[in-house]
Amino acid sequence: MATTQPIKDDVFEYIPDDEFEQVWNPPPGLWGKLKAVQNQNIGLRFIFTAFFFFTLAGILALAMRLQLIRPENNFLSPEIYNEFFTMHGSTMIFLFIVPLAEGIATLVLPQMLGTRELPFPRLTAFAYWTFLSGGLLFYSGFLFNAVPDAGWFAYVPLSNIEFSPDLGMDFWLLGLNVAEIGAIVGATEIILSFFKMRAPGMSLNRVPIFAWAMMITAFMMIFAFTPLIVGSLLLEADRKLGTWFYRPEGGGSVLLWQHIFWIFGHPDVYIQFLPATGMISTMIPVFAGRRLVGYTAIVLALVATAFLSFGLWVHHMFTTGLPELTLSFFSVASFLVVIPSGVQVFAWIATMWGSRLNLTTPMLFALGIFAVFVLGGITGVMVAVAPFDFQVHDSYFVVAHLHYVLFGGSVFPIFAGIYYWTPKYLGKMFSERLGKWHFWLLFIGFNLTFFPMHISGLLGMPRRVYTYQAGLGWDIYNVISTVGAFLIAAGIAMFFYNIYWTVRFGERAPRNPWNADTLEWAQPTPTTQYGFRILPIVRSRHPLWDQEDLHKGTEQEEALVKTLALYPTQYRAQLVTSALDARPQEVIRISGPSIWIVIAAIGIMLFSFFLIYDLALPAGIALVAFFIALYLWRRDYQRQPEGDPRLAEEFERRTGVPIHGANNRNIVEGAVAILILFIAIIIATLVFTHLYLRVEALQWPPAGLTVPDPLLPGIAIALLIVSAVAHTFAVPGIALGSNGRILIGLLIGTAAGLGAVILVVVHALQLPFAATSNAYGSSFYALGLMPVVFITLGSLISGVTAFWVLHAPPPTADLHYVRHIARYWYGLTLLSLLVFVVLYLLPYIY
Amino acid sequence: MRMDRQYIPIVVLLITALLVFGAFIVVNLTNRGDDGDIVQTQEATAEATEPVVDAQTTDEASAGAPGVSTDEATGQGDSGSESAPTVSAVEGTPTPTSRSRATDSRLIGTQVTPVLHSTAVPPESSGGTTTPTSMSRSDRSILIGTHVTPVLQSTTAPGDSGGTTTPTSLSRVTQSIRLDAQISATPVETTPEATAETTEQAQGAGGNTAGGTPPPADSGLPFADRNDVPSVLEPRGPVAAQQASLWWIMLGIGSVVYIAVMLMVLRIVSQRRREREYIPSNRKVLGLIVGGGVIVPIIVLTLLFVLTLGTMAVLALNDTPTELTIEVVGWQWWWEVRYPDQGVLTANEIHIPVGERVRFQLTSGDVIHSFWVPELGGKMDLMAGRVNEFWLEADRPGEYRGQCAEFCGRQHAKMAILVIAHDRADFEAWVASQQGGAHTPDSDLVARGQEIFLNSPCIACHAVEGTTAQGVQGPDLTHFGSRRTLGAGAAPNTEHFLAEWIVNSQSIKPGNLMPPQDIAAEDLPALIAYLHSLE
Repeated sequence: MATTQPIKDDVFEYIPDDEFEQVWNPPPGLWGKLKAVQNQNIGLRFIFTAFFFFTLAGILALAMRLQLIRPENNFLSPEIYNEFFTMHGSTMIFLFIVPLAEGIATLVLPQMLGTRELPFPRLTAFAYWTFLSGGLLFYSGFLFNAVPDAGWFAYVPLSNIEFSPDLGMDFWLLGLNVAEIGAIVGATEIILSFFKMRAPGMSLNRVPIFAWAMMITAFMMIFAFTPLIVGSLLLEADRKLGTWFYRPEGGGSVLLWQHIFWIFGHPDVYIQFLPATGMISTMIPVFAGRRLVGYTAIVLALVATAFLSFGLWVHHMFTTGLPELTLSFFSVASFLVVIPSGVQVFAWIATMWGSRLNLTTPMLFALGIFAVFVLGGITGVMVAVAPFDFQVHDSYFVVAHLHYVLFGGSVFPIFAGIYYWTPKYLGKMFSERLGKWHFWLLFIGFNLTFFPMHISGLLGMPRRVYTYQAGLGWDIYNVISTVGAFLIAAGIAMFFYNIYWTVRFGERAPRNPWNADTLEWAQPTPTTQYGFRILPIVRSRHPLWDQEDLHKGTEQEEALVKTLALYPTQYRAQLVTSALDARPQEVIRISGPSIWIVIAAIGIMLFSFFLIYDLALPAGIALVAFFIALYLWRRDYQRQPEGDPRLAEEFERRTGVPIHGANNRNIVEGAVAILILFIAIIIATLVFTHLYLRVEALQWPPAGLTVPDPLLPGIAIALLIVSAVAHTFAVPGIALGSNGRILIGLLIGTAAGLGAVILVVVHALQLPFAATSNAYGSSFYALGLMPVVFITLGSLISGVTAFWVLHAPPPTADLHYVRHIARYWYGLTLLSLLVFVVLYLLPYIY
Repeated sequence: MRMDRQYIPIVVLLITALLVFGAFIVVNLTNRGDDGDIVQTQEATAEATEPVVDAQTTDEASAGAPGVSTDEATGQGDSGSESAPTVSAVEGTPTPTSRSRATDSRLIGTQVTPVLHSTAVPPESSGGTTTPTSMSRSDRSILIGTHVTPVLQSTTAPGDSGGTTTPTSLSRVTQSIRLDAQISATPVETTPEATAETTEQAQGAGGNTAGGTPPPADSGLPFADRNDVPSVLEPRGPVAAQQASLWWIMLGIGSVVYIAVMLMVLRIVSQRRREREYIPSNRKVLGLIVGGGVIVPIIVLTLLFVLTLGTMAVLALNDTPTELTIEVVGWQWWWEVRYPDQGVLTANEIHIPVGERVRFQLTSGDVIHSFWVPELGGKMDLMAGRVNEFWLEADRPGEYRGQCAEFCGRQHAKMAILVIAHDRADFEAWVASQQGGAHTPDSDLVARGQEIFLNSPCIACHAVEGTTAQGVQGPDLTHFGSRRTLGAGAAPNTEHFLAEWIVNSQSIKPGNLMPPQDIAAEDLPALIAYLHSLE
């Protein structure tokens, strides 16, 4: 292992690298591994687990292909076939590609950005544990003989209680929700890491494309997964509580689910695709030995794709009988997304043009995308043509198309990425020979499996059929597909064997085997848990190509990176930089190992599990356990020692960067902004639901009901404004050093918030209709009570903070986060006002 | 080797979970196998159907009572004891009980010698219309691995006074028969017209003669037919034709784009061993990115958008004059079909006149279904609480197979629909035949069958007009005898399959909502005769 040269210093004591690493390594033993939070541990776990689920889903796919190998086959019963394709699709979408991309980002991003860690390592670990526990909860349906069988799209009414009365759908809804929480939490990490934790000097125009792609993807995840979580909870409410969101008999709408699902579902395609393009854009320049052509164009293309992808969900609903104008609009919107994709493809071609391409295994996979994804893109344009889609929608043509896009556009590049980064993160060189076998088996198998599906679809074979009749002309194509599927399986087996071979027999990898340009390759191989002890100073978009010395910069930067290698070393110290130009802002202490993360994740999984079985009491206990674990997780972090303040002063004197330890300013600010965004999307989804039901309804509110009296909720809004003002009053207390002022502000704020909660609850109890009366009632209660949940949470946070201020008054500077609490209340007040307007005032206007 | 030690726990956990998962799959599979009606293994099917076969054979062996036994085909002529169902209706009535019946047998492992019957119906048919649909039918066995050779019987009315007997269905039968099986065909009487058409069809199918060779035993179900792929690319109506031409245009453009991109990539790959690198100028690079990524797509997509709008205008329902409106209601897992203006109610079969635009109004009684007949045009979803409309048109007579395209639950795969396009006159004849009430029993056997039916649980779900059977959950059976299939295309509507369907439809279409019926074996023939009399 490479060691840094000891740095002589008269104030800060130099500790050797292995001692330094002790701070970053997880505690010893199995228990310690469980508590581990470092991005490299968690990233590899993400990848392993995603491949575990991939294997399960792959086995299901093989079973399905066996069933379809000949007409009227009896290998799988219809029931089991339907379960298998549901599990296959759901697993691949929710538990494979998305977590895999997230895992690779978790593993690679901090080092690629020239820093040590992600901003909230415990949150990273929480993302992993919720993903794992959600996935296992989802699969545990097999243990309880309750396997979902309504398809990965879970269309109502088929997935609703009347037509799927068994618990399979509950496992689907709640299991995947738990996993999606992990996805959103992980996305938050990626966004904050991208904006706030980069090497000094890595301004936004020098950030590697992969990081850009992941940041954009992470935003899309928050915007896409949140509506899905809300939509699934509404469906679960329909199933368990008897509400009417999706049931037309009570004024609900069948199409509402499709809208919410595809508002998630279409962006999700790009959530899976963008990380892959980011990897391709990273690898092509490396293997072509050239700079990426059109960096700015590619970044703009990524952003454009992200925006457009939220505007074309309806092209999944062309056959639902929507007006022609809508169809034309969404046809065009779907066409438009070709342009950013085209720009990327041609930028890659331009980069490779005339170069001496180094055809290693990762590059082979990267080239595979041209053969496969481009074809998927072309068929994608075809199905965007509404009148043609009328024919092929829900036929095998679409099965072929989506596999060309997702397998070709995501899985091939992800394999490329895994081979590409293996030498760094496993520390060994993989076998090129096995890698090429893997590629060719997969490539041939893939095309053999999915190309004939275009034809069988055009010959009229619908999707999701467990069998078909002989003589319809589909037989031979299905035989070919099945053979191809087994070739794919052989290719995947080759991959697993290659990984095993690498770990067991692989040669030790050099530091930078591909002569790559990004910072993760500057680290020793195998990497250390702390990433960079001496942070690099970035002067170029391709630091390893352009900079001879990574530690050369301005005097102040050099002083900073040198001093940061010496102090603080008693905890995991991390540099925060400004979002635009990566100027150093503060040094913070990031969180270390904790068992509470695991307990919190298990708590939320058990909560969901008990809900499935209607066990209210155990579910309540699990929920309480979850909150206690959250509290202890936070307290545990705050109570660790901060180090000698005199040393911190010396540090700041030398480098100009303050040490804020646990009381960081900038990261939490971003996190609170994302939290408010998350809540806003939840509320927006419910507003959409409410208005959508209103548009479909003949009479709104339904006959016999009037819009409820706005008096009590109006007072509640006023109280919220009081609370926001009280928090505003508390904030200057931080600067003034007045604990009393903070305390008063927090207490008034808490009281006003709780008052608002009580008023709304009293109001809800007086309402002449229930959530189970009709769709109006369901939507009214859901939208009206959702802010209450967050207000209660806010009151709890403010109250607990006041309690801390009262009992163990910390130095006032540490109360910085009161500012963030105040922001939370501002956001909440505005959103509550919106809800108030929609529920109580809008009916008078429209 | 830091790596493997560190990840041992997680790897062990995952492998364990994998094993547990595998074990439970196996356990689940075997458990469900015990249910018999869910896992459709051959054994299960055989077991489930055994009682039927048993009952029949025993029956026949002991009492000589005819039934849907395996010998029926050969023994039909001489098994005519007093209650023989198959010959009950020959005499003097135009009611098409004399409709030919192609029966097949499904004794496992038994080769049955096929016989071709053809019966001529006296040309006195009073109504002047002989329903063409009832003329002939051919079936096959669905049991894979059994060697069953079905029999074709075809009956026609030569010189039929009504003159409306166009043998569309007959030709179709011939067409739908696999011609490569081994059988000695006996001649069949057909109208000249029919012969002509039949031969034509037959030639298309491989030059065998009309009259039929039965399909080989493994060839599933009624519409199954090598020459009749429900292909999007062989349109049989203007809607599908529009959509098919869109496909060919897009295929052309797409191929050009794809080949161009592939050529570039291949060139790059093939040039990688060059000594010197070639660095394209900025102009070229910009041209490539802007040209390939922006300009070409915009041109192509604008063209496509114009085509899209053009096609959508043609397919629009608004200004389209439609004379005939058909309501289709999707149910798990069958189609209810109504002709509101004609007062016709049927199921799983839609008859339309050739060359006329037909307005379809689609809705669902339960979950979402999707109505798709590829040869006639694109699909439309059926949703509870909404009515979706579109139009289709067939430009030549024929049978067009459709299938539910939106996943709708366990038997989504076996929810087929048959669209039968007739000439206008035939269509009207068909409508007339469907408009009347149910056929009243005209023989003892049929009368007894009706009595059995009305005293059975059948009437809880099924209706027959003019009787006490008024159930609404299942398809209306008033004209059941005229339909070609059982269970939305799951099996042909023959005595044999009907018997099996009644006793245990789960063996044919596992999971469908019709429970197995406890009908005494000796009642079965009468019940079937009654049901088939309902034309």
